[in-house]
Amino acid sequence: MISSILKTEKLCKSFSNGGVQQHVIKNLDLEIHDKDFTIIMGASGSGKSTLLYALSGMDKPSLGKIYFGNEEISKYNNDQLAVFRRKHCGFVFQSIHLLDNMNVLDNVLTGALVAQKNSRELVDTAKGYLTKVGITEEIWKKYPNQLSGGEAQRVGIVRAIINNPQIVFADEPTGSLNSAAGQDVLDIFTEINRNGQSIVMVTHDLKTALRGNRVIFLRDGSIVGEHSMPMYGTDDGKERRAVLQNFLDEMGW
Amino acid sequence: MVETMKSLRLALFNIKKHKSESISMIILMMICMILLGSGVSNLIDIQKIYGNIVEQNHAVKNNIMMMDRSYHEFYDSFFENDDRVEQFVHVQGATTNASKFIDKDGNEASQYMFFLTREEEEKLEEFHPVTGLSQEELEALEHPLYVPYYVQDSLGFQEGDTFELILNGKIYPFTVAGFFESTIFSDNMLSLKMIVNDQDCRTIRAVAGKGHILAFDAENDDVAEAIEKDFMACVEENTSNGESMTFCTMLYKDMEAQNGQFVKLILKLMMLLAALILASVLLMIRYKIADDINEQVVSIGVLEALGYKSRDISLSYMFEYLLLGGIGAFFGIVGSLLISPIIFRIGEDMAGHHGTLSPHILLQIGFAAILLGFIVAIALLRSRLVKKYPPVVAFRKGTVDHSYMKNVLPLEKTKSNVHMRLAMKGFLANVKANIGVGICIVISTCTIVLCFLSYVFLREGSNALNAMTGMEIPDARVVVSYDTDVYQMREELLQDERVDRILISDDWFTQQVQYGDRSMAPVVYKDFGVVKNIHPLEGRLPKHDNEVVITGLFMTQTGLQLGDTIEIKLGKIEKEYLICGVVTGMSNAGTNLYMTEDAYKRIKPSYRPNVLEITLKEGVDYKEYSSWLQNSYGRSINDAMEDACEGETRRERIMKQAEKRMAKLLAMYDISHVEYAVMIDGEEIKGSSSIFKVESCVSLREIMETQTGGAVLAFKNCSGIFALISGIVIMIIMFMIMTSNVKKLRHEMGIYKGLGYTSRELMLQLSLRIVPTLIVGVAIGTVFGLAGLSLLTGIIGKPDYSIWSVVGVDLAVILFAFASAYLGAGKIRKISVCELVSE
Repeated sequence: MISSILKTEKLCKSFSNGGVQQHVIKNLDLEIHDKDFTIIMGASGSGKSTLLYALSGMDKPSLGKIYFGNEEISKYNNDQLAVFRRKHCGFVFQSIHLLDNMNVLDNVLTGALVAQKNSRELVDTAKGYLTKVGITEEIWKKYPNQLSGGEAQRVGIVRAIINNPQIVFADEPTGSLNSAAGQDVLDIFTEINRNGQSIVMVTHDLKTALRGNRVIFLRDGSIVGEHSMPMYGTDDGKERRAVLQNFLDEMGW
Repeated sequence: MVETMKSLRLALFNIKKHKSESISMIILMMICMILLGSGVSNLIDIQKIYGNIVEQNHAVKNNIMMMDRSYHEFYDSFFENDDRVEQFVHVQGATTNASKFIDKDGNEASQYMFFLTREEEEKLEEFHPVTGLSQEELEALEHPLYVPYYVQDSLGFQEGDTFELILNGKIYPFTVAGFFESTIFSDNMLSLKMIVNDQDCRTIRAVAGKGHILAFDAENDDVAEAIEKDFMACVEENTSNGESMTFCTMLYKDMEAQNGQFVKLILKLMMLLAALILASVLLMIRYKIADDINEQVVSIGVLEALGYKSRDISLSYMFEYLLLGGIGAFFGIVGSLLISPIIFRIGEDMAGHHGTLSPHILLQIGFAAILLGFIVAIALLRSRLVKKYPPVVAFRKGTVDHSYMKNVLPLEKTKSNVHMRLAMKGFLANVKANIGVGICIVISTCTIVLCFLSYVFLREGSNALNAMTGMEIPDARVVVSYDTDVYQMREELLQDERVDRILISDDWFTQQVQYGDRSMAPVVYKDFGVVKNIHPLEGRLPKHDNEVVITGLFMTQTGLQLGDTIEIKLGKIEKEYLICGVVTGMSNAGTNLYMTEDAYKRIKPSYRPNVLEITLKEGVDYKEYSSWLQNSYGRSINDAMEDACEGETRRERIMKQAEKRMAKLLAMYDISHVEYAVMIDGEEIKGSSSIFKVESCVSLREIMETQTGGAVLAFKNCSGIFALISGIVIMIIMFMIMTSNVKKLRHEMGIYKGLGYTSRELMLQLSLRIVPTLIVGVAIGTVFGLAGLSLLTGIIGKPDYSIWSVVGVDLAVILFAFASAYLGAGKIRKISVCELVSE
């Protein structure tokens, strides 16, 4: 039985622009399944990032409901949403958004210490994760400006997963990386997912989308198509790519 | 022109972008201008009041008042024969040692008064009474009394009210007929001039005593002063009892300077506070510009890439703060025009005169222009920072080279609260930027601490000023008849269990001795070991006949030191004395000279004390005691002589007859003491002339209360208002810093929010960043405040405060500033996390 970790009912999100209401998400019903690697795709302006922010509790919906398990998080105030995020979510940004005035280790611990008490184990865990994603000890003391894009994004991922969240959100995490660095980062996400954490990722890159087992396609704020696949690495890569390409073609990609 | 418009557009854009900070800046400038504008306008007009009244009333400018016993006819000849004297007037009236009257609350109050008839008054100055009574009502008044405006403004009497004067225990009722402006004796500081009809003036003169005023005009103030000095020398030359030392001299230039001195001081303090706020404004502008340049460095790079010169950007900052300062100054001038009449009204009450307030708009605009000049200068100087950022450097967010600071307070060593750790990291990364803020906090805290200590000092009302006077403030100051043996009478009165202690003194406040060309008021007691209100700041109180003690104020003015020898002169006798101590003493403008009876007798061998200063035990009612004292010792010889000797019983009639005879003996035959005893039907009726011993009994405490109550209240309220203004300044500064920080750290805060930090946690974190600056600023401000106070301590004495109360104020300032910062950081709530991270 597939259990859902996040669920939306009639989710709407509008923005007011100079007095004109712009409806970005329209009556959207969606379930995010536990342990899934969900990919959200769509053209620019289709509402992908807006949906991601709403699902992750970074933003409140204009209308409709969002459930995390059985708990309705759409009625939370901002501070409750912050607590929800620190307990259950991790977030990886396209622009990475490391804190410029802190070194690598502090950047990771900033995310950890808000949810957990400091301990030797916590610091060791942070260092362990960093090592695991290829950030070696000599980089721990470096500042974000001294890192390459790939290094910085890997630090961003460690910061997102340090609290062992049930679900990790990623907004085009490879968007600003070169191909090799992008693949490294995707490998880390795949690894995280295999360890049992759910991932919801926004992308418009086919290679990235191949890592997911479920692809949701948005157009004008509504889901216009959905495609499920086996977990990455459990099937034939070429066929997987052809089927997904076919689905995206159907969606007008 | 085009470039100027470009800069102006940028400035307007910046103002719009930083609305709340702009409003805060306007408010600060407004407060500054209100204080400065109203302070300057009022000071100018209050300083003019006295001169205008002298001019309007065509008053004789210089006056010397004396009691009848000190007057000699040759005084008139001196002035009449001196060519430098342009006009000379001699008027006679009735004067009282501090008389009592019933105040508006029905209580007895004490006040020096000088009674004149209308004709005599018009010799001194024109008399223009203002009254609400009709001519018929005025004519119907049996005992009309015209009083200076002070009696209306500060004592609350209105036309038609009964003014009950108490002389020698007898009540003389008058009806207040109107009010007038007077150039002398117009308020409670020296005396009150009361205009009565001929008959009433004669009556008071008979009961209280005669007084003389010699008034003269000279070409200018310096000549007037020279004439006064020559007159005093002439009096010394031709008299033997030091008469000149009992005169009350009122030269025009002194009167003008002294008139409304308390309100002038308050106005000067207002201007000082305005200057301190201006300093804060300038520091904040400096801080804000640096902050804004750092925040907008990339935009600045873009503008420069688009062809804006760094000069245009500098000018835009200048325009921004010029506009904000201009708006603040405009509202400040409007505010000043609105509140100036209120301040002026209070000033009039305190000065005891009515005057005219001009708006002084041009002057205020001039001051505003000067303030704006400062703002322009500081904005231009600070905005030169833009030059450091050519486009390429600006695009790199100002990073010229890749040098990284040491990682202070690493998070892996966090022991307790991560928010505190992050706040301290944030603080240490911006220590330099906090210097300006710190200075603002220092200034505000210093003001608040000084205001608090003033408030504490004045909390006890007139008791505070009593402590400053350097005088004993007895409950009853009893002047006895010349022949009375004060030592014997003291022993007699000490038998009364209501009496705590009695000091023996004389009319020292009408006596003066000379130190060089300075006059000093001798404060003489037999034994200073029993005084309680005279506190040595240095050294000790006098014990021997070659020792004197001076006040801290006098020491500051003259540069005299402990251990110096000074020559004191009275009349023709001059002796040397050693300064053995310094005390707090503000009365007589700090010219008190403390010496023992033996020491004083070296320059005044004829010294004979005639005053008993009685301090009653706790809980004893002064009025009851005073009444008893008057009945037992205070019969008037004049009254007794005219007594009809009536009474209900034979005993009473016999006693009154005996008193009448004793009074005649004392008055006509120079007899000093009489006793009688009569035996009638086996009953002994006896008495003595002791019943005539007391000439007057007043409460010095009440006089002090009357004289200083208004000033104390005004100063106390001003302390509160100034502390409040300083608090508002701190609040605005904190608010501006936080608003600015939220903007500057939008991105960083957005990331924190994305990581699950709540708005409250971030508000706390941002507010905690300012705490080290706050603590250091408050500590330094307190040290400055206490140091400032210690400079005054020598003059006003040491206020009775606990250092813990100052620590309490400091904590309150820190908490208040922290709360203001926390609320200012509340803007972070309004910003959505996605907006922050998706920019």
